Order: sequence, then C-alpha cells, then structure tokens
Amino acid sequence: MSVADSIRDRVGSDSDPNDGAGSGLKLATLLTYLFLYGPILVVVLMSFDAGRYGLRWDFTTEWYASLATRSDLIGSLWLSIQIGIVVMIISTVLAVVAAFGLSRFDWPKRKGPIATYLIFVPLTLPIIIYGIGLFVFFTQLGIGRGFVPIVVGHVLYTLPFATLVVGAGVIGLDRTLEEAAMDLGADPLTTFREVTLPALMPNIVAAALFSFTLSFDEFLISFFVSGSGAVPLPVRIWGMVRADIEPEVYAISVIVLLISIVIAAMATRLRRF
Amino acid sequence: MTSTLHVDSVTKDFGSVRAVEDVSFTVEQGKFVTLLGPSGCGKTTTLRMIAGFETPTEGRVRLGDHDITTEEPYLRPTSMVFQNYALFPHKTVGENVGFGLKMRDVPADERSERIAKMLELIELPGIENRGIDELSGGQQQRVALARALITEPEVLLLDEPLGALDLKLRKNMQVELKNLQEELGITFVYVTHDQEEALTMSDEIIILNEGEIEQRGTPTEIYESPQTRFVADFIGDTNLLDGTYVENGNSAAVECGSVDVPIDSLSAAADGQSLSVSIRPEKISLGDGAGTGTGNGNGNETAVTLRGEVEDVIYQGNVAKIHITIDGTELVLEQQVIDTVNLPTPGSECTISWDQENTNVLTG
Amino acid sequence: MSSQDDVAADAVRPQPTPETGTLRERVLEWADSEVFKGAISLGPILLLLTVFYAVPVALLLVYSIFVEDPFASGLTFEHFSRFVDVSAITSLQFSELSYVRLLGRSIGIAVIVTVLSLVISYPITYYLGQHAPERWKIALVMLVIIPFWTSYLIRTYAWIPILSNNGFINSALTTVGLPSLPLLNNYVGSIIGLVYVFVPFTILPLYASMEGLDSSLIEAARDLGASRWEAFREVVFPLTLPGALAGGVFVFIKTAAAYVTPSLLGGTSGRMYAQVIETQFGTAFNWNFGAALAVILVVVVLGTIWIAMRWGIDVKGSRGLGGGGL
Repeated sequence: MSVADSIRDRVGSDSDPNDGAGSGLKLATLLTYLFLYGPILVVVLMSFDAGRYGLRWDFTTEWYASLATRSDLIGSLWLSIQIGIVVMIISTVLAVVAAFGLSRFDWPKRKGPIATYLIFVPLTLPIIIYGIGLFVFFTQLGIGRGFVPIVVGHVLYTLPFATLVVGAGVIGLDRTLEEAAMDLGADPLTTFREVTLPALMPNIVAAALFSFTLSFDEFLISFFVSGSGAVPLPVRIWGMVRADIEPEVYAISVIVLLISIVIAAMATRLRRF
Repeated sequence: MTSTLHVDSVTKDFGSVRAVEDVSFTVEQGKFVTLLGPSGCGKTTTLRMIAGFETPTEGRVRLGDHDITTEEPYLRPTSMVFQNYALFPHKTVGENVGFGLKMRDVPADERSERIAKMLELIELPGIENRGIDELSGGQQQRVALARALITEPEVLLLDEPLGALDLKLRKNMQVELKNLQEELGITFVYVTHDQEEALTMSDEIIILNEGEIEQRGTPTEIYESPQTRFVADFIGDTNLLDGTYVENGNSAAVECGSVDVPIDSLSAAADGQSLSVSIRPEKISLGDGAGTGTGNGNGNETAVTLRGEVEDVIYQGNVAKIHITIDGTELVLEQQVIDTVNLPTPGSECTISWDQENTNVLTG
Repeated sequence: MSSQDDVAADAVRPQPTPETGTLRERVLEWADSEVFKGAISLGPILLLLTVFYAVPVALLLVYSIFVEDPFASGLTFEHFSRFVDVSAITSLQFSELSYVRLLGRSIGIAVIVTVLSLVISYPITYYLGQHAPERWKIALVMLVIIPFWTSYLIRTYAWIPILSNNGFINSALTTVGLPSLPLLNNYVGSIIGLVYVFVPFTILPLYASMEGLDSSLIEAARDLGASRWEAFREVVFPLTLPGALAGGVFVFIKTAAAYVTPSLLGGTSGRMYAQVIETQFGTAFNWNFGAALAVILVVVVLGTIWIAMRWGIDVKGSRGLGGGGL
C-alpha cells in the first residue's frame, strides 16, 4: 500500500500521464519555431525598413520601388525562372522514367540496390565538389560558363529529389488498377496514359514543383558555372551581400522567399507525409 | 456461340514455389463455378492465369477453340472483378463503368446509353457523375461489377468480390449475383475462401488445396459426399474419425478407437488399411438411454446405432450442439431446438443413430 | 461480344512456341526480361549520371595527381604532400592555419553543429510526434518543412543584421545596459548559421521516428512510475536514436563541407575547409592543388558514411525526407 501510494504521489506530482505535453516542452517547441522563422521575419522587416541596423524601424516601401530600376536584379530573377522551368521539365520527365526503372522491375537482388545507389550518389557528395567538378569539366570541353552548364548542373542536382518523390508514388500505386484497365481492354500504353499517369499526377506535380524551387534557390553550382552573361539571382544576391548589403537585396529576397514558400507549400500538400 | 473454358494441366511456379500444380477443369458456358480453398491454395493464381495476369509455367488455357494461354489480358474476352474493386479513383462512376467501351472505341453516345442501362441493372441508376469516394462499400462493389460486365465478357472472373462487405450485405449480394448470372447467362468463375458463399451460389465447386484440386462437384455432392479428409473438414462441421478398415464376411467396418463404424465393403481397400470416415452432426439423431432412437433412417437395417453419454450441450439459438462420448471417443451431433426443455442433460445416458449412407468414407 | 472478337482478331500475334532454342528466340526472351526493361528505362539516366556527374567529379581526382595539365604533365603526389605539410606557410591569405588544421577545425565545427542540431531537434519532434493536437499536426510539420525548401543563401545572410555589432541582438543587449557580444565574423557566427541551416536534417528523420513511436510505450512507462523525464530517457530516447543519428550523419557531412555559411558569417576564426578549395579555383588558380583538397574532402565524407554504416546507422533512412539546399 505504501509503495502504491508513493508511486501515485510521484506520478500525481507531475499530474496524470495522459495530460499531453509539459509546458517546458511547449516552450522549447515555440522557441524552435522562432529560431526557424526569426531570420525570415528579419528579412521581411528589413525590406520595409528605411534605416539600416538596430531596433529603430521606419516603415518604407522605397526598396521595392527602386527594385524596378534595378535591371541587373530583374534580369537575374527572370534568368533564374527560365532556368528553373527548363530544369523542372527535364528533371521531371527523367524522374518518371527513373522511378519506374527503379521500382517496377524485378531486379535481381544485387543489381537493384546498385542502381538505386547510383541515382542517389548526388545526394551524398558535397555540392561544392560537384560545382567545382562541373566547372572544370565544362572548361575542359571549351564550353565554359553559362546557361547550359547551369541547367545541366541543376538537372543532376534535382533529379534524385524528383525521383524520390515520383518513386514514392510508383511504389504506393495500386497495381490492380492497372490490371483492371488491361482487363477491360486497355493496351499497356493506354493503361499508362489513362490510369497510371493520372494516379501518379500528384507526385509528378510535386516533383516538378520541388525541382523548380530547388533550381530557383540553388547557389553553389551556379556560383561555379555561371558566367558574366548569365548570372542567376542567388549568385547576384551573393555578390551583393558579400559587399555592403544594399537594402534592395532584402526586397528581392522577400520576393524569392515568397515564390519558394508558395511552391513548397503546394508541393508539400500534394505529397502525403 | 458456345465457349467452354478449358484449363488444361496448368502449373504455375513463382521461383521455387509451386503455387498451382497440374490443375485441370472445364467450365461450360453459362455456368457458375467456384474455386474454393483456404488462402494460399492457388485459387487466385488460377484465376489470374485465366485473366492473363500470370502466364502458366506449364499447361494451356483455352476458351472454345481459342488458345489464350499467352494472350495479353487486354485482348482476352474475360473480365475481372477485383477483391479491392480496383475502381479508378480519378474517374467518375460513369467513366469507370464505360472504360471498357472506351477502350473498344465505342462512340460516346452509345457508351453513355449502355452505362445508364448497366447502372440500372445494378440498381444504382443515375450515379454516373459521382466520384468513387462518394460511394459506400456495397455501391463500389456493384460499380465494379457493372464495369466488368459492360463489355459483355464471355467469362467473368470474380476474386473474392464480397470479402470486404459486412455479413448482411454479403448475403444479399450472394443472391443478387446468382440471379444476375442466371439472367445474363455469362460464365462466372468465382474465387472465395468462404464455403457458405460457395455452397449458396455455385453450379459447381472446385476445391483447391496446396495448389491441387481436392474435389469437384455440385454443392450437394461436395457437402454430402466429401471424398477427402480435407474436403470433409473444410466444408461445414463434421465428425472426423480416423481408423482402420476391417472386412468381416460380407460386412465391413472402420474401427475408430472404441467405436466401430459399419460401412459397405470396399473393393479398393485392403484389410487393416487406414481410413477416415466423416459423419455430419445434423445427420445424427439422439434417443434416450432406452434405445428408442427417433432416427431419421428410413430403414432400420441401414441405421447405425451407438450408446453413449451426453458430455456437453452447447446452445446456439436455433440449434444445439450436443457432445457425446462413446467410451472416450467424442462425437458431436446437432439438433434443432424446438423446445429448450427437451435438450438432454450432461451426464445422461443416450443412444445416437444415423443412416449408414450418411457415413462418408474418405479416401484421401 | 462482337467488339471483343474484333479486338482479338486485330491482334496478329505469332503463336509462341514453348521451345526456346534459336538465337532469335533467346534474344526476344531476353528483350522481354525484367532486367532488360529496367536497363532500358534506367540506361539513359545512368548515362547522364556518368557523363555529367561521375566524369566531372572524377576529373578532380585526375587533376589532383598531375603536376599541371592532366595527361600533358607528369604524375605527382606533390599536391597531397602539400596538404599534410604542417610547416608549410600556405597561400598568403590564410597564413595562420595549415590545411590539416583547417580540416580539423571544420570537423570540430561539424561535431558541435551536429550535437546542437540533435539537442534542438528532440523537444520539437517529441512535441510534434507525440503531443501535438491532431488537427494542427500537419500544419505544424509543414511549418518545419517549408523553410527547408527556401533559399539557404537568404536565410543565412539574414543572420548578418541579427548578429552584427549593431544588429538586433547586440542593440537589445546594449539597450538594457549589457555589453555587446562578438557574434558575427567568427566561429560563433559560423556555428549559429550552420545549425540554423542544417537543423531540418535532424528534425525530419527524428520526427518520423517520434511519429512512429507507439505512445502506449510511454504510457506504460508512466504507469510503472516513471516521471516525464524518466520516460523520455528510458523509452523515447533509445527508440528514436536511430532516426536522430541518421539525420546527424547528414548534418555532419554537410557541415564539414560548408562553404556559404562560413563565408558570410564566419570571418577569420570561423573559416572552414571548403573555402580554401574554392580559393584554389577562384583566385589562386591552382586547380591541381584545389582538386587534391577536394579529393581529401570527398574521402572524409565517404569515410564518415562508411563508418556510420558500419555502426549500423541507416544513412539512407534520412535521405527520403526531401531536403533542399546544400
């Protein structure tokens, strides 16, 4: 009896076990969210701040207004969007093919994992190594820096992510749906078009959105393979923040963040987790 | 056109695992045949070979004169109703039902006409534009059926189509499916592990066990005259007694421990051979200790009568299961409960009797 | 039924013969095999990976073992010996540290960043996985994922106005009469920025573990008399550690190779190894030496993964959690 009482006292002292989180845990969680979003919030605040540093804050929209005159920033933004779209298309198509190749065929035990590892190697090696390698590679080929090397680099960089997203859909796909279509007279191609592709569409769209936003925000590869004629926005921003930060950087950054957040939110909603 | 389905000596290996071994049967057009067996018995694999989703390792599948063993699924005049229905989640009910027609390039207006007719047939008229996720389980089941039937297949293959429905709905659908099949005159090959479902609907039942056919026959034959121990045990409740065959002049019996079960002498069996017998509980009748068994035998000379003791009485509503021991051997009999007062009390002496022709000698 | 017959009649399929003998048949059979179909669908991608990924990376390996132009100059080991030469006063910019010590510092910073990331990840994932109200959960998890997919460059430089001498933190400190702290352009800045950028790599796999943890285990521990902290220590922590470690390995290798964050926030005392690699290609124009430094970094990264896998950490496990950047 005394043992039971003492246990009850101990458990009772920090209340019943099913009461949910302690306040310490909630506070830590809240602080983590603050940590994650604080810097993003700072960028937004700075973009509307007439002063520079410090706690004083004077609201202004002049940095957004002056963006319109910054043809270098506008040009880079447009270039980044163009690169993103091209990369998105190539990467998504390849990802669909790769996802089927990896998950649909009865690979002999050893060969399957090897193929999988090969596709995912780009996820493990440091991006800076790849960026430098690509720079040396295109220099050796005599192509140098520019649009094509950036696109190539970004396709290879986004492909593993896109393949993962599409692959999850292929693995989760109910094979009896395809069998049902075939049973009802659809040949393999028609089955793919009528059943497989529509059922995979959420994953494919998510993969496309992820590819775009990854390419749009990518800096290190672009840093090494972009030339003076083709400077994507992250490289432009890098140049501006390495020197004394011009306030327009905050304004263009807010636009970049908005684009990324909207796309990432859309993609995350499409992809079940 | 008559198209008999022939499955000739079909064997299917998955790697080193043999799923189906030398299975042969024929189904005449318009028959309702059920492949019945426990899970893993090869029934679904057999069905999938008829549908074309699996290619037999050996053997042929023919439809009439047409060898369809290696024919692609989409070229076969068979349709399948899947266990999980496999309705396309991104298409409406109408698009699902009309899918087969669209694949056959049936013009859109004829298609919608036939979809409407088919939905009427399954008693869900006018739901063309609904989404699949708006349907109940029972409705999905009907839509899956409509989708498979609209192309007027020669053979409809059904893979446990009622498995996901609750008991009451399942019973209703059993009757409806049977009626539909008789009305349309299409061959049905039905796969289930539910013996009651098989007995209710089938013209013929094929019982599979570990990839091989155990027995085939009408529901009555399967239930009344099981030939193997497996079939007797798998279908319904039964008293299974294992013993040895003893021949004595022109009478014969199977000695099962303390009980001798008289049977007709068998030409195929030798004295001392191991045999099993099966007697259905409801075939056994109970008398009091005085030996005046009420008997459902029509001639006393063919009745088997034994004395025993009531061990236990299990009341189940409309019937009661009465456990009898005869010198340590236990038998179960089933009695209609007309009046609970008449149920025997455990420990009392009794006689039991059954008609000898209800003793099934199991050869396998 | 007629439409069925049409379909069947259209198919001019040769009746397959069961005997496989002739070369033609064997080729056809092979063409129908799963491995072949798999190779066809993966072939172009593997080719792409080889030409545009493997070759560029391998090119660095090639550069590292030649004196100057690959195949046009002699083979050498001098670039690697230059790395290990502790006494070497290296390039003019970074005379204060040898390359070996710089790599050591990067690894040290990576260890600190990994530990901090794990410490930060545990409370939030425990809350999200076990305590968050169901209807908020998806939204809360999305809130963690979204920054992961936004520009890490912007999220990194955003710390400059926060950490600098006249930035938010120090302005706040001096306002209340406290001395200001040196947070930017030193290793503190590097560490804060790196933890910030990489913490999602530990949060996401750890959340998956927390989410998968059967809450009745915690209830059982509590029922048996464990306090909240004891239940965490005895049940939650050991069961979720594999997820945490998988993420931790990723944070470690990403940090060890970090370039952007130390460049923007680290100053001299926060300088990291990847920066001197870049220097060889950017300003020093010594590709061969830079390539050797890059090869060494690759060895460190692959070695870390190899050790982690030998310890039974499921490194692959964390990769699926889709993460942007770096």
